[in-house]
Amino acid sequence: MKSVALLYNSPVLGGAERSITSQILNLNECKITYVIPIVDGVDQAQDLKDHILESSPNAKITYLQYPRGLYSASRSGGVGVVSLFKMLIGMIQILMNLKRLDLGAMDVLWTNGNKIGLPVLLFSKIISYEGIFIWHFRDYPFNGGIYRHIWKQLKKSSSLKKILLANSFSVEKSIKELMASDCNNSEIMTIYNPVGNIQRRDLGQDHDRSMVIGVASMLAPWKGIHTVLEFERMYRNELKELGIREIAIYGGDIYSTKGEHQNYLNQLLELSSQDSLISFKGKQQPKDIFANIDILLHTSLRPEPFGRVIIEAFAAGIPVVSTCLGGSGELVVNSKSGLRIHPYDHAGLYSALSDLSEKSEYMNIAKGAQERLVEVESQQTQFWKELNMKI
Amino acid sequence: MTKLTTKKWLITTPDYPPRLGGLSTYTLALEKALEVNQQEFDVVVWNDPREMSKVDASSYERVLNIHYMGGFFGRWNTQKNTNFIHGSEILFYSPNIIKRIIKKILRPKMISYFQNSHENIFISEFTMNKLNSFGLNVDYSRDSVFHNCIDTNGAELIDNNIISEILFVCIVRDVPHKNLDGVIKLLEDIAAHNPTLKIKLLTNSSRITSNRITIEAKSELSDSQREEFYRRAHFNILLSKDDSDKGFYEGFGLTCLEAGKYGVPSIVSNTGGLPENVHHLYNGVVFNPKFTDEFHDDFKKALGNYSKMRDNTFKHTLSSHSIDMFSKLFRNRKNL
Repeated sequence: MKSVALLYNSPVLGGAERSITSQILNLNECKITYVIPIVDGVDQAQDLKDHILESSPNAKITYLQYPRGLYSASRSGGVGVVSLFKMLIGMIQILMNLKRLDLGAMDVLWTNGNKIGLPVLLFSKIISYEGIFIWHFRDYPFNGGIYRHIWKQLKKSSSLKKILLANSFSVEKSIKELMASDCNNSEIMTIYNPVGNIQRRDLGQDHDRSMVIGVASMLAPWKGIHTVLEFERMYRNELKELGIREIAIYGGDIYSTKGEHQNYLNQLLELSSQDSLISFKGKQQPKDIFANIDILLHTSLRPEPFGRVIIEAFAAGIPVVSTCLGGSGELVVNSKSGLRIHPYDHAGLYSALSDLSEKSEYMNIAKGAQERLVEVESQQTQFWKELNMKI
Repeated sequence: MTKLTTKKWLITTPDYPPRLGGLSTYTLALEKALEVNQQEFDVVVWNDPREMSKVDASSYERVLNIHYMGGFFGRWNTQKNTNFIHGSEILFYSPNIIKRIIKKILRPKMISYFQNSHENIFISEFTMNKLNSFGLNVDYSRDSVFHNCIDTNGAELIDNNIISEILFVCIVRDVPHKNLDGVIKLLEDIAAHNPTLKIKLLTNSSRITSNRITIEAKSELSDSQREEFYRRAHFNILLSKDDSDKGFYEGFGLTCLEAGKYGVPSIVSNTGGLPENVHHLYNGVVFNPKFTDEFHDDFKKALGNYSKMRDNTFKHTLSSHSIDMFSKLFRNRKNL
């Protein structure tokens, strides 16, 4: 039986945390220790802890104190003098905290993101770790400022057995560009995120009633929710004629990040008006979201590393209209598993929704989405077969 | 002070017919949009934005500034202003060093002007992010992106398959940032990668030459000759550089829409607002000079899918970039 330490990237239960919690169970004959980083006390990790125990009732959970200075500096991406100092002190503290967890005895160290990846990488090098180090990228690796030095450390660690995991082929491509000539020292693989526990609906169920469009994401400007409000304002009458009765915005700022996310919700509320079709629903569970919408709108303005909400919609039988940037473009094949739009192309978005208001097109796309989901699940099965052989 | 009649809207612009130019066309489009929305308006045309300090806009509820300088120099309440921002006019640069220093000194005041205006409408996300990098705190209840549009009268999907020759068109001012030399280099590369095809460039520049491709140049193109070049072409090509530190970048790339009217896809550089206009392998190809091998693979895909790409380009230009989109711009806006 192999021992695996799964080190989470955040104490807050988000998509990345949900994904890895179910993914890790695909490892054969492994004893897993779940390591949750905490910044402000154990209570902030309660949702994550509950989620782990729901998935594995006998899970061994331990906590890693993550220095506040390091957490906030890495989240804001700040590289000023003060931030650098905080990061240095924080790094020393976290290395000492990692030492207390006896990770050197583990066969596999699986880090679920960049905030935890770097300290564990450095720790592995310090203790000359002999097991397998896995860095699971949940986002495109940023290659600017201080992060350039982080990737240099990754490239230099040629004696460490490394597996770099991407959550889409788009992210894999970025990792390969980052590692460049050092690709041979690391195994780079791709595993799509799992779909989770989404109830599958009968295709086209209730299509003949007036439709609800849903947007489900964290409320960050790069998710493009403001473009949805702009679109609704310009096409309100036409949308009503199509039979669209509501555009429901789900989500909240779950990662408490500084910078551009602050005040975004207030700006969106300022932008909306009483007679618009837009309603803000706050944070809800995926199963409740997909039970109440007919079409998922995915309007990210930057390449999305994966787009878990898209395969959740596929599973629920909900057609997706997406900007298809980055990993999301691997999931949504235009006119087959969804409809593609371009950022800020409001006329294009209206045309896509108009197509989906026809039942036959709606059913075709919903069916195509479920076929795409089967392909995604098949990729996942193949991956776990390969990874279990390596481990 | 010049007092105008009492209407709800005032448009200020540096360009208006019979003067030709992009801002003149833009002004006409906005006028039409206001008419469609049954809004009454007046227009003030300025040669020097400082003239606007003499305009009394107190009786207007909103002032639409086709060029933001009109509002910047106006003496009315800044919160009446809606500014249309097209591109490199927001770069605080001038080739004249004295003017450059003055612009840099005025920069905080100009940022404050945008910050306090009612609305800022940017031609591209790139332009909005550029102003953000100069200090504007983006507020999505005030700042928005509205891509450029074109009069699609006379638009026609021309059936123009590629047989033995690929015709490229490039109609730009021959200035360094338009990168005509880069265009020649890329076309010569394309010729080398596609030895069975002849490569020809239709252009308004008589300066450029090449031993590997054919160039048909006409330096003083009339409107009808320009349209004829677009109609004949297989691809439009625009490889503008991002010379922001020298006062220029491509805000959106109107020539791509001019070509798109006839179903002509565009090859563009990945600079400025160009990648927001041309969607890679949908209505053209976005060229990143760091990945030339990838470009040639993508160009082959474009050739293999050429008929569909023309169809996409034509439909996309007409549906998403028709001047009629302006009339939707003013629908359901707050405080109107």
